[in-house]
Amino acid sequence: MRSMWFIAVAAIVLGSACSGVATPQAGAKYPDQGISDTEIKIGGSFSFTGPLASTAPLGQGMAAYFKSVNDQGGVNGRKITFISYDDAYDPAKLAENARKLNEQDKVFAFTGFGGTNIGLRDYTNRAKLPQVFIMAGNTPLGEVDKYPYTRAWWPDISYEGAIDTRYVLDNMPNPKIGTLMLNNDLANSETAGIKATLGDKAGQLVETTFEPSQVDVSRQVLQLREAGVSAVLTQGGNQTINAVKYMNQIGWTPSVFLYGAGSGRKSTLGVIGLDLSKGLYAPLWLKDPDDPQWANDPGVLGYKQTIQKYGEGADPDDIVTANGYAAGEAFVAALKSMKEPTRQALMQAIDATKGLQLDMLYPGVQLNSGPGGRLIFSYQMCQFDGTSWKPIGEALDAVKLGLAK
Amino acid sequence: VISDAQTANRPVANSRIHALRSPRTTAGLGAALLLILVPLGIGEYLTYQMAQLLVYAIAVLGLVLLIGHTGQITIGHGALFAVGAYTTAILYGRYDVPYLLTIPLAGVLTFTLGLLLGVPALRIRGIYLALVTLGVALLLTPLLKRFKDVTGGVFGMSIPVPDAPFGLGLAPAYWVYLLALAVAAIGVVLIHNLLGSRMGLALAAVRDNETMAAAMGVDVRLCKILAFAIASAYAGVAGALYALLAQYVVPDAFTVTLSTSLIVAAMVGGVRTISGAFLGAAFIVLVPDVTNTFSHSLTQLVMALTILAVIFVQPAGLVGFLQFRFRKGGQHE
Repeated sequence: MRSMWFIAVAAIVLGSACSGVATPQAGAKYPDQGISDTEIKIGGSFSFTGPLASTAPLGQGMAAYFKSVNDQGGVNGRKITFISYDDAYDPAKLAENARKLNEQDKVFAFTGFGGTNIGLRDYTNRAKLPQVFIMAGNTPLGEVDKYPYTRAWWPDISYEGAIDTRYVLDNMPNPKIGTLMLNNDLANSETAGIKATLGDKAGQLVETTFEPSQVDVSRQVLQLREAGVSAVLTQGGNQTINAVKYMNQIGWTPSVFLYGAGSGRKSTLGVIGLDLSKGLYAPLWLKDPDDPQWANDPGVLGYKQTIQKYGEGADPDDIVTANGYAAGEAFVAALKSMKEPTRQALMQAIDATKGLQLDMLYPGVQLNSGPGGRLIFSYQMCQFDGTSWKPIGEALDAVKLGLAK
Repeated sequence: VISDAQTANRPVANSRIHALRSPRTTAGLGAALLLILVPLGIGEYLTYQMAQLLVYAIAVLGLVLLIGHTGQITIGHGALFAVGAYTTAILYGRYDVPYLLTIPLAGVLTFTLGLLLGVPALRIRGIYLALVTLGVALLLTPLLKRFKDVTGGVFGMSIPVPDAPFGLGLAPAYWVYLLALAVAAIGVVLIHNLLGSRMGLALAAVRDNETMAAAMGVDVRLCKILAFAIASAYAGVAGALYALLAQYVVPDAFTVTLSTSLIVAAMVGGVRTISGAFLGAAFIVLVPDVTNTFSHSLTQLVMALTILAVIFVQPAGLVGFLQFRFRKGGQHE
């Protein structure tokens, strides 16, 4: 038996010696994995299934844009290989996917959907894996000092909360604001923006929440009505749809503000019914591809052609597809402007973004690197008139308004 | 891997005394050595997956004892797994308790919790244990989210990488794999001896006919409570290892879905056999990983079809299927 123990210990020691060899050899030109003269490997993890499967087009839109770039010669001669996996909005699965992409598929950078990415930051930053263009509005994704390899694509949702609140305070007499939000960190982020704007009236805010998997929110709607709320700020897809339908059923007509990233004319309003959607508000930063006002917009036309050709069944009229596509555009712009082919240089390129226009951004919205490493700070407040999202006033910029610090 | 684990443990199965110098011992130790060395050649991610497989297998071993051999159903196995995971995460991550110590602590805590839950639930016959454990599974996730200061809230908490001792410099995934391998080996030996003991016979009697068992002098209640507490401890220890492996715990990783996954693993592998626990764990770890590469919605389809196939075609699970194929003898039955 003793000899066996000896062999086992020897094996472990040998193992530790071998695991040293496994470290990738640093090349002179390409010290980081996943990039070469001909290829850039990008990994992604999305909710293709699960409670938030309605966000699946994010990954499809991005993939379609990458394919169109590849067909036009790639990024500075490098073709993008995009590998994406499903995490079903499960943070543990997301962490596993990121590990697999980094350690087995050897990707250069990682992207994906969901506030679940907050928990992933420790891994990505330890591995120095760029976790970029993350499609989530949670405030913690802007902690760039602590997590230098993490950058979000969606604007900080607290700005959206603040801008909605400001709009309500400026335009509605004696408002009482209520929220209908996901029971997670996203609600905390947005509520922080609302409360900051309400100032000493923050105590009057009526908060209701729901679980991501919960679809019926009639109890919350009744709760808001009982509390005498006149403006409701919402998050979530199916829940918003059901809430607006239910409000119509019970004949309650508060001002309802949709979450900008989930305000699709087709995927949200179409399901509510365009008639019933009349009067809804949304702070938008993307052009809604289903909105007839953009029917002849060159950016939207180009986008639709790309999705039809490379989208593999993705719906070009869904604003969620457009969102992923726009993230792809921004991603490619950053890859193009890298000063050298390293992960570090990618982070610097993102942080150097200035005055960038994209095909799908709302007129007046540009990408500018700012507080929290975010790129988007402007919103166009819009109201739905039964056919189209009609802009109200000018686009509002959270940095200029002093909301983003 | 699985058959190796079986071979490795079979000498213990037969007789611990006269098997020490038999060729089987040598084969077993050879297999153990292989299990220790294999991950060195397969890269970090596959090592991580093998460690994951072992972690889930340890939890499923508890279900083999409880469902397969005692005939009781728990729907809270994932919750006890979570308690183990958070025990390690909080003690090691927040209070710097040596992480090796947190593994047995997680086991003791979940054993105690199992006793506390089992005593009232198992006084009555029927589905009460299932109901109570379902309650625990549903309650735990919101509870973990609420006590943010301790648990890290909705988005969980990260814990430091558990470095291998003695400056061995092993990759973290490989080190946790070795730990899981050792724990799994101990777990297999314990459960094997337990099933071969008088208590094992008593459990089988309880499963087959409670009234008859009681008439034969078996303390039915005690048997069921102990089986549940031991199964809980297996889940807790597995959870502790999970925390060390993932270095990250989050409430939504431990919903009722985890409990059902573990039951699925037990059913698909073969709920009455030890090797079934490993096959079942391999199923829930490897199948999603493979199907995910082909199509994003294939995973659920394959899982669902396999479960239906197992229930309709071969209720003894993959182990039963393999035994049927190769006309081998049973392990315990």
